[in-house]
Amino acid sequence: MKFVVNGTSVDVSVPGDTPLLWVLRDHLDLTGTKFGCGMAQCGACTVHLDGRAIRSCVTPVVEVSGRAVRTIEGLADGEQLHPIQEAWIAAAAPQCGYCQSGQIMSAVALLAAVPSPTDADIDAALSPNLCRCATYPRIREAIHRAAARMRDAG
Amino acid sequence: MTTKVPHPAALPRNVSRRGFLGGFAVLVVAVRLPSAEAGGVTTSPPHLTAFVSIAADGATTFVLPASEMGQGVCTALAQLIAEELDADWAKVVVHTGEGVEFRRSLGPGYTMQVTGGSTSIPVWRGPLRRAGATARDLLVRAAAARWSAPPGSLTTASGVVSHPDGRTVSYGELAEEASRLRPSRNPPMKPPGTDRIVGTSVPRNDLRAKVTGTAQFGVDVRIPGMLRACTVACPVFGGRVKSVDDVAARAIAGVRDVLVFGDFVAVVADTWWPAKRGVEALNITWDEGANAAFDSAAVSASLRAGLDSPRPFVGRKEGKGAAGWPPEEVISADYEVPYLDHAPMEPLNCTVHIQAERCDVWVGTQVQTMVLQAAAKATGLREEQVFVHTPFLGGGFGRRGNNDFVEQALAIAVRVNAPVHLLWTREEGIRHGFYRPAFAGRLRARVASGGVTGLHVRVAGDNILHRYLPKLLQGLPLAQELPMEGLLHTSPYAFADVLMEGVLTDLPVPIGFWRSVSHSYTAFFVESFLDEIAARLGKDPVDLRRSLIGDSHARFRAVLELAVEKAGWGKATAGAFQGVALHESFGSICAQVVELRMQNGLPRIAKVTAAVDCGPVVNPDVVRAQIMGGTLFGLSEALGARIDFRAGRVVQSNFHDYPLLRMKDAPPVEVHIVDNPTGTIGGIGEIGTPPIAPAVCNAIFAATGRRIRSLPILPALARGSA
Ligand code: FES
Ligand code: FES
Repeated sequence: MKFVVNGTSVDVSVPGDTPLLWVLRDHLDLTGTKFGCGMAQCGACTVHLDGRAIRSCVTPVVEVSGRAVRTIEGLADGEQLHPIQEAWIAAAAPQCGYCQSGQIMSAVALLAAVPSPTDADIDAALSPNLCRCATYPRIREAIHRAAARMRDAG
Repeated sequence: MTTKVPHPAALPRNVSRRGFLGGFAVLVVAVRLPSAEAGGVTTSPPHLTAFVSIAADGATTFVLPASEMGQGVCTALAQLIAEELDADWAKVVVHTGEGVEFRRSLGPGYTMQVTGGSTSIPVWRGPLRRAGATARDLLVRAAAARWSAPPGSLTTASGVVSHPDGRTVSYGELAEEASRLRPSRNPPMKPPGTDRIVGTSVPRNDLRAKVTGTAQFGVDVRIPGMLRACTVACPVFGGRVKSVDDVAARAIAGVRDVLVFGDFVAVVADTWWPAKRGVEALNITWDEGANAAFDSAAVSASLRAGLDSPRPFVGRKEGKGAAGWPPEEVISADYEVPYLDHAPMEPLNCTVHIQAERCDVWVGTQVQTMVLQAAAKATGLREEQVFVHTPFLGGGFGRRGNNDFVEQALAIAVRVNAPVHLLWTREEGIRHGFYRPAFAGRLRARVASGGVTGLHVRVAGDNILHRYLPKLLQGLPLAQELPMEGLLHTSPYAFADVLMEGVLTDLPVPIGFWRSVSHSYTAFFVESFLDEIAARLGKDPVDLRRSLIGDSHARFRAVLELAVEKAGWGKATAGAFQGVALHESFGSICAQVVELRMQNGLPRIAKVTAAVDCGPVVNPDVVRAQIMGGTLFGLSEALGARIDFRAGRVVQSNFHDYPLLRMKDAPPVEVHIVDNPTGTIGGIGEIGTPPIAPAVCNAIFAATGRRIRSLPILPALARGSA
């Protein structure tokens, strides 16, 4: 099975119905993407497939064959964090941190589609992502902050 | 500042944990401290120690006694040491200490390493400050010896000692000399009011790791040659495995073995996915045991029978208790709350590597000592040969204070000739919890001629402590009082007559410490019922509370007034309604005002305004985050979640039927901290949770006239009954 992860081609030999999540975590050692429920209920496993946010726990790896996957490890440019990651730090959003990779991937996809999201846009895009520590207000704040910065940066 | 939870795989073999710590560290400070430091918190150890080590390059390692599960101890506890040490914050590395040696170094009375009960800051503030001061004193004396100068003439700042003539030397350069000096029993401490790091919102030191996906959780542990395991336990509590047909499971590519234990079956595979598919392919016949017919109706029946019990335990009685109240002056209501699961986002997992003379366990745990003891028992090794490594915890909330999944992993590892990583499914986690016990409350008040003069509360449910205490000790008042937390000495309200009673039931459900423990329901009972009294008397709910707060409880008054003022009590926007609640837990007081409007029969919460008094504050931003998180954690369960039983089994299994709060339903939580720098320090991790359910229900009553007496709220509203 060949596909691209964070700009690098990979080739894994696993049964095609293996969820992408477990290929990332157990075969490619990309552990930033998390397991939370295994049934598209929590968003901890959110990654991008051709730029769109998907739940990798219910995505058979055969579906990503030949396509481009981006994970939390692919956001920063070396030491330079993505503006959303910086906004997350400025808002001190994470608590336990376990859900945050998925939250951030959902937020990145949202801002790519809607550069100036309303609260309702954020509700719609981020509600698939559970946070048991309930950091939601700070995530909302971070998204607005990142949107403003990315607009300013043009 | 960086936080490195060392990658477990990077830990060298065959060296002790301290050896690892000391690898580059030349100054290791171990300080024993007097018990007075613990400030009378009963769970605290009488003798304490803390570690600081400084490498030649200045890298400063703090070994903390608490687990980081989101509550910010990694930052706040480090601030305490760094303050007295005058450390260079940018060079500080933090991780959780573990192992028998670490525990012993903490002093003879320190028998258990536990993170829980909102105790990390209250218990460790004194000892960690002292540890920092001791280390600083050693460094200053080392510099004084170098320069032949009186120690008192030298100053320190940001990891550097300075001489009055302008010479300086870094802590790193001094570390080795300092390590050869004897620690002082009485190191100079900073005078009150001169803190630079403590009391400020230093950014959490784990943020970068947690936004880049590089933070190491237990689930991310990778050991060369490691196998993965998935387990399924008997769905009925107390049941056993009768027989297993594992032909289909063994046929799955990647599956290595199927192991049968008393009450669970494990599938071991090269990676986790085949292990999980293997579990699904098992055909297991269970001996379901005595609880095969148990269901939620039995829970309610047992709790109701408890409320009617003729022989309650009396936890508090003042005046005449509830004797002789004229029936026409009594108002009464029954309340009930369900079982709840902790459901931390990171599913339970544990990695075990057993070698000839050594066992390593990597686990997100709140109870390192219990893990260590369990590992020694399972492997036959001595405790000194067991090494417990604590990565970040993807949430704990009390669940990771239980060792059940660790014991499973150990049992599997003993039978598999390789390192093993056990990871539970979410379904297994929800069906095999240590649940917040279901409880019922009967509340009665004596209301006459415009005032309320008596309160009688009886609660009925199971006692968590009975799981831990031998039968002989279960009857002790201290043990009996646990389910009544929040009803006894911490209650701020004064009545002529008070009677607080507890009745213990004996249900077959595993129960445990869930964020805020008994406060999670006692606050709901009392703070809801106060609103019922206010409604009966035609009084404003805040005014009623003002009139009932006793003179010796001025702190409560200040917290209530702050919340009410900031929320604009009585000035809700058009169409919105407010509710209030006030409660003390873990030494801190929290008041909340909820503002909501009803939309299609459902509450839409616009805002929560919280005020908190936790005494001195180490990191205001962490306090605000914890109050926000604790409040919304409580709201999550108040709205929609419950654990039910049918045919001996937990009905719920994943987030589709154990619904947690989501972004679209999460209101902003505005947190105001009462300035009380000289007060007694309290906890913060659980304080926000208790008041939110009653505050919301009181606002729903204001909006609709409907009183919610059983949680969760949404099903109660949908039923149309309270
Ligand atoms: S693990 Fe994929 S949505 Fe929960
Ligand atoms: S930060 Fe803990 S689950 Fe979101």
